[in-house]
Amino acid sequence: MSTGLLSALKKDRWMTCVAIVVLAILGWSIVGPFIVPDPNVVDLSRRLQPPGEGGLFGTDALGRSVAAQLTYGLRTSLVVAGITVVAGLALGVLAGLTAGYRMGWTDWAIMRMVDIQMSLPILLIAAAIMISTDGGIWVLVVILTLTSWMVYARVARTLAMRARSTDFVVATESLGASPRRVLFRHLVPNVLPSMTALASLEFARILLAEAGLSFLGFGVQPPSVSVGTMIAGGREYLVSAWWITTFPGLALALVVLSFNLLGSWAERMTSAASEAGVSLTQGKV
Amino acid sequence: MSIVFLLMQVLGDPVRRMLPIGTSEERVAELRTALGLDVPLWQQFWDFATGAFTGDFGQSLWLGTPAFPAAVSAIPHTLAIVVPACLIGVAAGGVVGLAAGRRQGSRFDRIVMGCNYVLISIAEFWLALVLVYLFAVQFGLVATSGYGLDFRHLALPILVLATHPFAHTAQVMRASVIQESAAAYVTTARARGLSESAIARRHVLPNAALPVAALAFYDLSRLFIAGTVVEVVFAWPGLGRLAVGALERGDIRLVEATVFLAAVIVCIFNLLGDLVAHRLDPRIRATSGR
Repeated sequence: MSTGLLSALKKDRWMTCVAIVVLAILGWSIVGPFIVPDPNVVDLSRRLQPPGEGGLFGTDALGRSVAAQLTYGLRTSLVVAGITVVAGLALGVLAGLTAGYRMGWTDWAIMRMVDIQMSLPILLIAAAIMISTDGGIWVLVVILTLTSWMVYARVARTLAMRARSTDFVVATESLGASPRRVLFRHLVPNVLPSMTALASLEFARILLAEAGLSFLGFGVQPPSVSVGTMIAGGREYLVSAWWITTFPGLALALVVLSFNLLGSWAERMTSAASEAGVSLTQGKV
Repeated sequence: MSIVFLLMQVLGDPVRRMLPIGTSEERVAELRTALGLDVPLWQQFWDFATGAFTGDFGQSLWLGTPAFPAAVSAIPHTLAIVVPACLIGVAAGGVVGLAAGRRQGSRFDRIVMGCNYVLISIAEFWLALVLVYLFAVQFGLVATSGYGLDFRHLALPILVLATHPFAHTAQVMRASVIQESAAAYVTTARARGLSESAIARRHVLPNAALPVAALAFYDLSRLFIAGTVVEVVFAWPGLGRLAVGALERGDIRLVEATVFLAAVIVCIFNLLGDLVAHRLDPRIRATSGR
């Protein structure tokens, strides 16, 4: 996030709270696994204990601590979503900038790929790929990336089309810079700040998509835990042990909500700033 | 432009290309001898491609019946919860969004916006489980799961599926109302002495509803796929649950049939959304050059 957005964030007290929640969750998912016990330790004498006697969030059907599992599960979900956002951003920005800068048939081909992907039943196809490859976390990341790059590509293309006729690009070209140089040295740094809001919203969306796939059994596979697999595991015990499904779901909702709020706040700030003619997210030209 | 392309989609080109690669590689190796699939891949692809046109995907291993009719017969079940959910969500979201947009910045507006963010941030399958626990297990008002065209079976799936269209519509409607309210024609109407409610009803609403109408179809196509998790939670015999069952059992014929049909339906809804947008708003027609 650029310095302009950060200082605007400090002035908004409500958004500062949201940012602190995000930082706390990210911090816990890094530090937590070193503190909590191994989430896969089975202790049948402690099975299905409610919150309180069974630790902070109770224990599941095998006597495993829900709090410990949630710590590891959140970390898995956040890591998957984090890598996906970075990969999708890189792929989408490159594709979008190439399309918008080159125009012509390159543009046509890339944008038709975007259209195709936007109108496919992604969830089912993702599940089919996961099943047929017996996919691990990396397959999941690749699939989720392929569902995510189009959003950035569309925005990056619009920005590139606007930028290609600006003075600095024309000047660079007239100095004999190659298209690749223009793309990487000038256009990429120029559009990346505008992607902050989009990336945050996509992070929230991917967290939900990963949880849905894992819930159905097509996402993160055991022995790894993710929020989705925890909720799926607690489904059978909904009546007798509500805490197994409730806490992972609440935690997921809290994370997703925080990123949605941050994302749409950043969106409002950047669009308000561009309307006012100020650049909050100053790109290095 | 986009219409032509979506039509190409409906003909199933990318799906046909994706599916044999996505679904069959390993399964085919396993089941090759069992199913007599030891023909070259291009021939399977050809069979699949021609089969897709004639609705012949072969036998489902799981069900023991032809895959395509089985998948087709699941569609009405999915529509039975997805369409009402979308209608209710869009209608309620439209009303709430209109009310919030007219009182921009008020407490009501802030509460609506807050609720919207919470609603879109909750995983649908988790919300479904929580509601089952509350209304089915604790209060016994509705059935926990299963199929039935009555209130006990329909209420919860529809309620859960309606949350996202509701939040989505309310958000777009609100933004749209705020934007339209600043337009010159509203000032003109006010200068002519029209009451605020008449302005909202006769002038702002028809214009603000434009993006919402097209959005309803896009939401419908999203729900059709997102409904899969909800169908699984409620053991609702729709297309999504059938696809999940087929995937779990490695029933490639049924997977192909269900995913193909899901793709076709998603494209139809998207296409309808485009058509509605073009039909209702002459400005889009003018810019896209038809």
